[in-house]
Amino acid sequence: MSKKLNNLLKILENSNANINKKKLDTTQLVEEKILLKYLSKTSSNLLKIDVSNLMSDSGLKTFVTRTGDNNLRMDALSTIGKNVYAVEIENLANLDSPRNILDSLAVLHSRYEISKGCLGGIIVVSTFPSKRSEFWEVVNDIQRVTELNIYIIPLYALIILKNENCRLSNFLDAFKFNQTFSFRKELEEIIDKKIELNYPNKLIEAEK
Amino acid sequence: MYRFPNPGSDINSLINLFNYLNDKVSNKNYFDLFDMKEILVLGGFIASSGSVGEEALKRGSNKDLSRDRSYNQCKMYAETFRILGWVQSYKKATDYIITPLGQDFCKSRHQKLFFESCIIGIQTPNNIIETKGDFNQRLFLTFLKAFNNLNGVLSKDELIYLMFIEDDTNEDIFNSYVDEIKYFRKNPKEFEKELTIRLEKRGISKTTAQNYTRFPIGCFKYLNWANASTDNINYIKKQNVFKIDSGATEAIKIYSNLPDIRLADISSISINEIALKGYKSVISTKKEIIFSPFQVLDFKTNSKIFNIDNEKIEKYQTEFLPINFDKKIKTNTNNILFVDKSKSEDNNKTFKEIENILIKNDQNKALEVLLKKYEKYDQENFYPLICNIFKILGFDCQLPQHGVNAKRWDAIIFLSDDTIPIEIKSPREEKNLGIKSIRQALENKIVLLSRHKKTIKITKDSPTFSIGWKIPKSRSEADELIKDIHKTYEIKVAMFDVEFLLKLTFEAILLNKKLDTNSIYDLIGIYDE
Repeated sequence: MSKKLNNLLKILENSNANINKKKLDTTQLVEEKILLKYLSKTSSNLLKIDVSNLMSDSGLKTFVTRTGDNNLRMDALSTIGKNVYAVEIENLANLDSPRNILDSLAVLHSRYEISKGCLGGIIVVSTFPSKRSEFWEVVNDIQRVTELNIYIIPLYALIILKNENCRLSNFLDAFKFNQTFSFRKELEEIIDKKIELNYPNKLIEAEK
Repeated sequence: MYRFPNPGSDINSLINLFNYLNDKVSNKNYFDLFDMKEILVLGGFIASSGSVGEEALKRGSNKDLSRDRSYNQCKMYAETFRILGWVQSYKKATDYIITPLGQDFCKSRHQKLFFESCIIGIQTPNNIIETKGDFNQRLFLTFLKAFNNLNGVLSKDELIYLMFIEDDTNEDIFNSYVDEIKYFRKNPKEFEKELTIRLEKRGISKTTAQNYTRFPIGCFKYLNWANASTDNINYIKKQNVFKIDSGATEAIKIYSNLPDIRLADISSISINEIALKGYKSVISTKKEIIFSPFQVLDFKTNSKIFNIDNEKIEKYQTEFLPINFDKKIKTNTNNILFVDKSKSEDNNKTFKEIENILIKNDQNKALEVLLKKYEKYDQENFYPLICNIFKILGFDCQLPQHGVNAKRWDAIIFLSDDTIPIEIKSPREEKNLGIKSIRQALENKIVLLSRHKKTIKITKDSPTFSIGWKIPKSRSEADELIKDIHKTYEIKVAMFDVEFLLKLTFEAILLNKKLDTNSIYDLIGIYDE
């Protein structure tokens, strides 16, 4: 790990220590209605904090970045071992998420000397855009041209993983975008249970 | 009478053209005649035709397409490809899809033999092309047999006469045609009379009928079946004929003893087996039967037999540029294909406007006058202005068609071996460019590299442009990001303000010079005044 990255993580750790660490109770959030209500009532800043906490709880050490920091424009930064991920946390994923990821990964590689092989992007989405959305195309373009991995993690999956005591850090590859537009099967395989959501449901898959 | 399309008699060009078309259109796409025209005009295979073509290329144009030569040429080519089984109609008659037969033809290393199978495969009736009259014909086989039975020679009029054969599976009928031709060779006036009667009955002029022979004659030459010659042995006076050659002798050996399956011979039970066996016979040198499914059965039936997933077929998306883009074609595309003319400022107008101001004022004053005018521009005026400025600087710059979302860039520059997308912000949208426009410029290049690499020349050697009224307020931040992007993705973002571009344009106009194309490759960072 580069000295610069080490320093950055220390700074983030310190700044995150002051952030509200009140744990989100996820037991009820598997109910679609309750989750949607939570989303409608939660500010984007709080959502970022909750998601970061959920990710950290699942083994992916995640720090929220400071709003307005020009050097770190991503919403959060995650690490597992020597791997570093730029994280975008969105209520509904739009084109800005993959654009921001591109920008953030360039900064991490160029300024913090993280090799490209250890870099990836994570987009946490509360609800999925439709299959026809340019979002998917652009994510695909980025993966194809830059050869960097982009992971799309549904918030619903984070909640389920937390409730089922599964570590996201062990299953991150299941969320690598591969044009299936649905993470239902992957999630069911991880928790070895059926997901009790009607099909299709934009909490875990893209609708038409 | 069978009416062969007349796309021209050079079969080599026909094949080259189809190979090119197949290269451009994937098997997951269908295309129409406009797409075909665009592909073939840009590929330099056919010439775009003057002002009619210019208008006709615009979809939905009310211009009379029958007057558009290149459109009609495409129609003829498409018809020829259809009778050869290389394309079939998809949903609409003029929406085409390249069949597995067409794709296999392009992959074949023995295209001559493959082509021969395809012309033998032409049969009437079929479920693809409606023909007038009640004919049962496999004409190329009939021509072969006729050569064989008529001392190895056939005249053009005799070819026309053979196209009237009602049922060539009926030996008596075929023999009667042979006997009649033999008789006519000794009585040419009677032949002329008989042929005229037959043609008049069908309302076909002699010239049109002769045009129908151009494709078969082209095939004879290409396959070495027959060559133009003269004959005074079989005729009472010297006659221009086609004289049998080695290709036809070989073909007769191959095809004359094979079971010849016609539409009426097929039942719903046998259809799969016959189609598969027939297809194998068409594409391989080992032939068992004569039956070419893509020349007889409709696309829906073939889809079932050959497991073609026709739900996944999408409309071909027209692309901007061919790989071999020469100067002559460039002129066509600039004006015809891609510039949304109604919204684009005429290039000369921008040039003249700047030139006129420069005549009356010094450069500083000219800049002041123009900036004052352009400051009010919204994207409707500003994007074409930027496009025109690049044209004055000597580049082939184009605006994408209005409303095509997949084309994310606002303008695009085609170099001879590379492509530069341009992200533009008009002064009415924002006075100072933001960090976002750098991201968008990066994304434009990535989208082009990812989606269009097969159809246009695009590399990371040339930059991607971001252009606006003024550069970002936080110049150093923008500069840093451009460096980060280059270091990480090897993509060069070059950002210009309009003042910088105008000064370049002044130089170009005053010195009557254009920018050196090579100098554009190394641009990276922020350029302003």
